[in-house]
Amino acid sequence: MVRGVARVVILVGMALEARAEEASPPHFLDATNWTRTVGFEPDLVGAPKAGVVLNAETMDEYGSWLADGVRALVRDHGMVLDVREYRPIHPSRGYMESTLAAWGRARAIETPGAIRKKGIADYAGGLPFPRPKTGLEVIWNVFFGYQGDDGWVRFRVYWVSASRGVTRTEDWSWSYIVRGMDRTDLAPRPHLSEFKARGIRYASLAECEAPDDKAGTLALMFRHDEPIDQRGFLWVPPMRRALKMVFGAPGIPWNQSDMLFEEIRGFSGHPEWWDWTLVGTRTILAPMHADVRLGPGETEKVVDFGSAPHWNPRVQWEPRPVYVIEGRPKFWTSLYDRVVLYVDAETFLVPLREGYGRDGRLRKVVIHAFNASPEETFEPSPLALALAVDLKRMHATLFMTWETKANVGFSASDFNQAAILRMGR
Amino acid sequence: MRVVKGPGMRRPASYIIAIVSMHFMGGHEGLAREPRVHGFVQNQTGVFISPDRSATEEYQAYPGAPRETFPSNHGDKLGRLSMMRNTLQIEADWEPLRWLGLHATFRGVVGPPLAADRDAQPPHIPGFREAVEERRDWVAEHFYNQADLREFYLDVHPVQLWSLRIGRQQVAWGEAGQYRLLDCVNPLDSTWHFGALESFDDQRIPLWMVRSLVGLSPLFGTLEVVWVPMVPLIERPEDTVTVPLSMVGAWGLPPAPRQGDVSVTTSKIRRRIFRYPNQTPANSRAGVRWVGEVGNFSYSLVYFYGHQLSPPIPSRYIVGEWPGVDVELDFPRQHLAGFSVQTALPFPISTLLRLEMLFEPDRTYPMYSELKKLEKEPTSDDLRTIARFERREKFTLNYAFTIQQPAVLRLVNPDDVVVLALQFFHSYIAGFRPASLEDCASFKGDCILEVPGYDSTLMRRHHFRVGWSLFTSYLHGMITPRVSGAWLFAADAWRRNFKNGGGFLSVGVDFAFGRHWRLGLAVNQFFGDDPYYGMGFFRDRDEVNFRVRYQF
Repeated sequence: MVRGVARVVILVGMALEARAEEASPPHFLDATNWTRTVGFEPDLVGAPKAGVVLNAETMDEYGSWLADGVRALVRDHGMVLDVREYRPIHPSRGYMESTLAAWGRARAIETPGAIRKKGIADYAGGLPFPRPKTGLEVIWNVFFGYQGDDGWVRFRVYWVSASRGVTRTEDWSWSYIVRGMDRTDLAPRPHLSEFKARGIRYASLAECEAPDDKAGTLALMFRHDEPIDQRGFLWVPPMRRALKMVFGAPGIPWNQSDMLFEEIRGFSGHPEWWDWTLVGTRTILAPMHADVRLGPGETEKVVDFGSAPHWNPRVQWEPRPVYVIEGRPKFWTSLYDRVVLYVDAETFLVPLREGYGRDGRLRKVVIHAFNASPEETFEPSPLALALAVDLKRMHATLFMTWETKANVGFSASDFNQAAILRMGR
Repeated sequence: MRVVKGPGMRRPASYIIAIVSMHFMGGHEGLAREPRVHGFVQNQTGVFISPDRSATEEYQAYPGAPRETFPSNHGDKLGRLSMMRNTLQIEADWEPLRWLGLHATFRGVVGPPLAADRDAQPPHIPGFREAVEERRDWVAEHFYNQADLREFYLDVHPVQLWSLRIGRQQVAWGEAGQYRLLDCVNPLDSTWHFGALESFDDQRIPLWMVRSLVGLSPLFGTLEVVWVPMVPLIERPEDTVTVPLSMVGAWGLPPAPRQGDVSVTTSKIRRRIFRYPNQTPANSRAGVRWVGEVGNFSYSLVYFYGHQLSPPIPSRYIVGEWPGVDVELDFPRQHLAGFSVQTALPFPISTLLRLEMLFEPDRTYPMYSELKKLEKEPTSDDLRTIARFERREKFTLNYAFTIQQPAVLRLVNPDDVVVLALQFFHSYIAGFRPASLEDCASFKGDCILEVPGYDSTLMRRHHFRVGWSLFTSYLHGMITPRVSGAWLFAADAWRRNFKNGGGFLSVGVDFAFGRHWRLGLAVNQFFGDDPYYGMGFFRDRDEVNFRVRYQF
């Protein structure tokens, strides 16, 4: 009896200690403890070694290291993965500083059936939920994950048919402020006052550079702190006007591509618009150090445009610790019955994503391949390429980064109507 | 590197880097842009498909007048060209410095004379249906063949808040889409095709002007000032106003039917003398716009002082020792003010509402052509008789309401959105005293006209129009079908025999092949009960229109 009581007391004590350890902030955060403090380290036992090449013939041996969507692309569509060793990634010093300062404050709020009710409270900067325990906490970590405070990217988009190859291309540049509020890397900190006053977390300005019929199109978009529609202005060159627009309702493709707005960079939108479940944690292969040399014509060298299905990139994949979460859309407009996100447990970026159609079958596989940060203490991992494959239509869209720069130093006045009127032609 | 919990560490180096980079990068323009040249070569060909161009009907020009036979269909016979426009357009952008940019747009156009331009009414060719070849050639020479440096301007962005654009350019205010309300700065040239079927970007005549933008982020707004100095020598006076549609035949106004015995009809006119605004500082135009945001509402406030760009208002009637009459027309000064509001509704998702309102406190209207006041009797020195046409200035209110709904309709299009836009337009003339043609003959009421010289277009107090557009795209934008149209209501059908107004319907499909090739095919139908009123002016100019473009 006494022994039993003692065992219960010990167990309760251990549980309380563990909980206290989880709730209390660490004494410090740096490159040495970031991974195990906010996420978890990969389980590399039995992982494919660096130099292994995975293709349809060799994949069976390492099938458990592949996400379902990637397995389908390798098995059925000729994608080849070059394996490299795992390399840990940590965010900037400022982001770690903010994470530490705001440790334990944020609260995730379930919002079943509601799309306009805010699903987080008391967020104060950095990563809101170290060691997340629910799908909702994971997706909030994605939402507030480290991508620098702002950035710029110039890229070419390829529309690719499995049977006909590349059918169309467009060139775009895209500037964005990831953190209008709760900034971590750039002055002014913590907020851009104009954005804070209007509750704007994120702003982006995309410009089509070519071809001629779309050149000069500008899309200025804001994502607010509240889960309202992402709205902004579209500069339409044939009209020479900045028309108010709503961008990115779930189920709507970006610019007639295979990439939905919500799939940009793995997840783009408001977490409140889906119901999230944490499926589990895994170690799988993901392209987080893809080693893609960037540049016009250079980035394209990693893609096998010549052979069917004409969309396969060949980049470096490494074993990565991931949270696997499942989202079920609250919007009837959604293309999917459910989506599965493989969220990197160090960066909370989303290198892999799957969309399952209303019939329950795998419909879409989205891959985002990141290069190593040029300066990890100050810059995030740059996106090297993105691939969205629609397995039902046998069509894909490739986004090939030509140039990119993070923490450029944009101001709020680079993302207002004056900017779009000034740039509009 | 180690971050210790506590007050954030000062990182002077980071701040310095950030501040220095903000100063020198200066926003989007701070990121290097290579010189860019792009453009296209395009052929656009239209063919009339209305079966009977030669149809006529008895037309009673005014109550009590003898019924006479006039063409009731306009355009041309089945299979004849409605247009042929071969275009080379090249745009170039160069930013030699981070704060300095140069833009140029060249457009060269070649098109053949069209048989339907026999109905054109060039300013200097007397009468009607005479000198047919000369009319056609004049139209082709003046409007179908152009080599024009359409836009040529310098962008200066010396500081973050302020930018200037100096040179020949377009400025489009307002958001009403199909209707030009606050879009009052640039005149139009829509001589080559029906205006509503072409983009305003192609139709606007760029003007030499200075545009200044001041972005005031703390106030969530932007102040825009425009000055059109009316530059002499460089700018042609006729390019500062909208080209009258009477100047062309294929897509212009058909000659006015015979009207009252003393009215000024097409057949009587020897010469039209356009008194274009002088290129002097006193004639310069200027305007200001404030664009701002309040919550989910975007708005703009506009004031512009310019000229009434269209239509030209008949001013003087001159009879001399020559057959026919000379008519002088001018473009009066005008104040314009208005506002626009746009918002997005939370439900249904993505629904957008737009309201645009324009106040014209002193809009000048032409009057029934018989209404003239003698200004000068003939003398032995000057045998001319000169009369001044009557005109009225009226406060006019115009507004357009637009609802735009992109919708996910998976049954119609499983992969992309279907976009529906509906527009409602209303125009109201304050202090308007309705008049019948009988009233006008006895100088009673406000006998003001929509179209000068066309006594059949007696103005009404209210004008209503609706417009719509529906489109989607398939195969990732390769195929884009669209339907668009408009209907102009005839409020007082009892007065003029025009039963139910008129409108147009355009059904088309655009194709995008690869990066270079774009094709378009459309069938355009025009309706109107009265062949000399409203959309009836264009009725039976039904056509098939084909466009093929190679872009680079």
